Amino acid sequence: MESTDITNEILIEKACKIFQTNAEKSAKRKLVTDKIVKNIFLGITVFCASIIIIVTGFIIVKGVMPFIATYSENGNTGKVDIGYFLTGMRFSSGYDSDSGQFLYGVGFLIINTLILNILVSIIAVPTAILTALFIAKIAPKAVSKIFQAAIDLLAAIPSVIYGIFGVGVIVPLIRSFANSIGYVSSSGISMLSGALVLALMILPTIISVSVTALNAVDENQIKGSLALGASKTQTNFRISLGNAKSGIFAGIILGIGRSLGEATAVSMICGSPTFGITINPLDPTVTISSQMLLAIGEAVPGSLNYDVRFSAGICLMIIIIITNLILNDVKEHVSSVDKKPLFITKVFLLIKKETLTVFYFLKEKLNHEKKLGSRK
Amino acid sequence: MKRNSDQENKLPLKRRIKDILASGSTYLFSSFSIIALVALIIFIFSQGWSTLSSEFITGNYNSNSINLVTSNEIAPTENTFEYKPAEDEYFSANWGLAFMNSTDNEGLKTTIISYVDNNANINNWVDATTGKPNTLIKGCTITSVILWTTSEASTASVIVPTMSDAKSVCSAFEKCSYVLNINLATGGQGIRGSLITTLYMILITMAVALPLGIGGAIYLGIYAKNNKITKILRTLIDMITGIPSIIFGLVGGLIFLPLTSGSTSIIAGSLTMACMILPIIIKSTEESLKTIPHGMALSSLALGASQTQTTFRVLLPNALPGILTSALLGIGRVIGESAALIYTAGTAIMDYIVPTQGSASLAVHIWYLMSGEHQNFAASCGVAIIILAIILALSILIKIISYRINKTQKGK
Repeated sequence: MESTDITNEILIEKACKIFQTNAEKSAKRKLVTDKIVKNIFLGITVFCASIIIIVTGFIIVKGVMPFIATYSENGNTGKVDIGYFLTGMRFSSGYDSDSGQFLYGVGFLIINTLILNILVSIIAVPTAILTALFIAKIAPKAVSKIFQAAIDLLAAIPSVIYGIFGVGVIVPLIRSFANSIGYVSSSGISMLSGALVLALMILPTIISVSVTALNAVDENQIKGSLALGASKTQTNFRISLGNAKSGIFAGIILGIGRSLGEATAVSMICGSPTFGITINPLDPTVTISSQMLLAIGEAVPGSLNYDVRFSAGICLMIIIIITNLILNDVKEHVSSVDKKPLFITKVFLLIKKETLTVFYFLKEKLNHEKKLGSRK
Repeated sequence: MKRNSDQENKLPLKRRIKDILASGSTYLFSSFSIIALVALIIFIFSQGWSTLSSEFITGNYNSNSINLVTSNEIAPTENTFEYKPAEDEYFSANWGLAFMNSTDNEGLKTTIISYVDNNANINNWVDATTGKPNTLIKGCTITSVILWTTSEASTASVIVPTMSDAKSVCSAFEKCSYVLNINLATGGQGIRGSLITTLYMILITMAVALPLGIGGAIYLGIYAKNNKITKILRTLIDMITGIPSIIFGLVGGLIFLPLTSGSTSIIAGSLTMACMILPIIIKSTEESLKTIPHGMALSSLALGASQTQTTFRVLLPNALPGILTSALLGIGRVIGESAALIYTAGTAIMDYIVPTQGSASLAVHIWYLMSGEHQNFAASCGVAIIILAIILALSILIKIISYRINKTQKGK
């Protein structure tokens, strides 16, 4: 009997050990798989994040090439003149045989893009903010729900469709307007039509972000303002808009970003003048992105005509980044309680301070020299 | 409510006028923006509705052309045919043909052959390419005819009637007794190719972007610690949305075109689109992972499941609605994109779709139709209606999904 007990015990112990080692093994295996899976996902995430680096890297490398490498086009060989590139008033103005350089200019494109987008924001921003205020605070609930659904849907409409609308409706409208004020040569294909269509295109984006921001305003603040005797309209304009400033600015940044990079609609509506800055809103204009799209079918990859588009792309990215930085700065200035000063004011103050120091220094020196002179 | 209005009435007049002006401005501007946006929809529908037909959707873009010639003597038969033409038909008695004004799928004016007599001479003519008699003459569009007044080439005066008007075509046929050849066309201007291209693009884009996007979202939503590296990764992914699509087009062309030996292709376009929609998918999936109660993951871990099992068996199935929403958002983006695809997938409108060749998607189809010398509103608005319908369907689906998520969450 005893011996069997002992053998049983041994068996049980053995079994326990096997179980234990098995459990340990499986736990270990699980940990290993966990680690592997985690690293796979980490790898995927790093890949996703690196897309932006790859894109920027390619744009920069390819965009710098025209200034470094030698290209041959139309029987001429040479590089692109960087001075003319930044200040030029014509995108492809041929070849300068004296310096042996190609003349491609994006200076006018940069200025045209900025003018067009200033016009767009003048039209779109007030309209979008007031519409958002109406939807979020003033309209009856049913109306605001319908409006919001419509706006959300419109935000998803692709830009080519806005382009059709621009060519079909806005261009003829602008043409008749231009003709009625005596500007007969206008065909309606103009900066103003482009600005109207772009404004219409970014309206839904700004509105939907602003409505979200307005809805998130603290109810107690609104009630407090009403309790202090402010009228409903005053509360809407001062308290709601004031508190939603930062959200509204986020919407504006999104919208302006979209309109800066827009190419297809602009190329359909704004025309394609080959040179010069457009200031008259009734004249056609061309922006960086629409110029990049222009006659892409004829450009062969690897040729100068194709690669110089990358250089234009760098300019577009720089414009977008600077615009974003400025708007973010303004957003922080506007939405912070203690009115964080604008970067420009800071720079201005710094320059003022420096010039004043230099000025005083010079004055002191002069006085000193005068004193010395008088002593002599 | 009444007290409120009393209160408002007590306000000084100046303030009241100011208030009315201020709130009036919101009414004015919001009605302006809504009217403009409604006008857009109305314009698209009024212009495009007439072109929308099953032929337009399922037809080829390139028309099927038939070149008819005669092997016999080209003289017409002497007998005159009898046919009672309808109101808008024009009948040529010595040819046995009736002509009618019509519009093609693009909405352009054309002339079609509306009736062919059984004994008409044209029935014996043969197709120039196949050499067989062609029986499908009725209903074809006439693209060109060269008519001769006499059989002698040297003395004959050649008449080429304008094709947009049935009356002039008919009178030209009546005047002349000899025909050199007739070019007929059927179909054309359809968008089947672009529709299939768009479908291919959606499929390939999703096949690439969904696994990557979900993987990224799982890492950021479940595994990632709250540290600087995670923050940097997040910022980098967010920054992708800020890049304009035209830049994506340029770089996508540079990277992906060599895959298909340098020419534009649907695959290159889809891969570019996949890079563009990654942040959308990551954002949306991560949001839905965040809404899953933390206890769920903890109880799964407590029951002995490993982190991997918890991720795949518990968390992902619960995040499915969010993943679906992200996929739908991504599809909407693919359908609407034009600038990036012009560089990578080309602007040529194809009928026979091969993924390794370039072909225009629906949005690029519109751009192609509108950017040429002859802008074609009717056809591009027809395509636009289809895009709008798809986008409407997608957003309704998204609304339904989010409504159901809210409902189940409230139920818990």
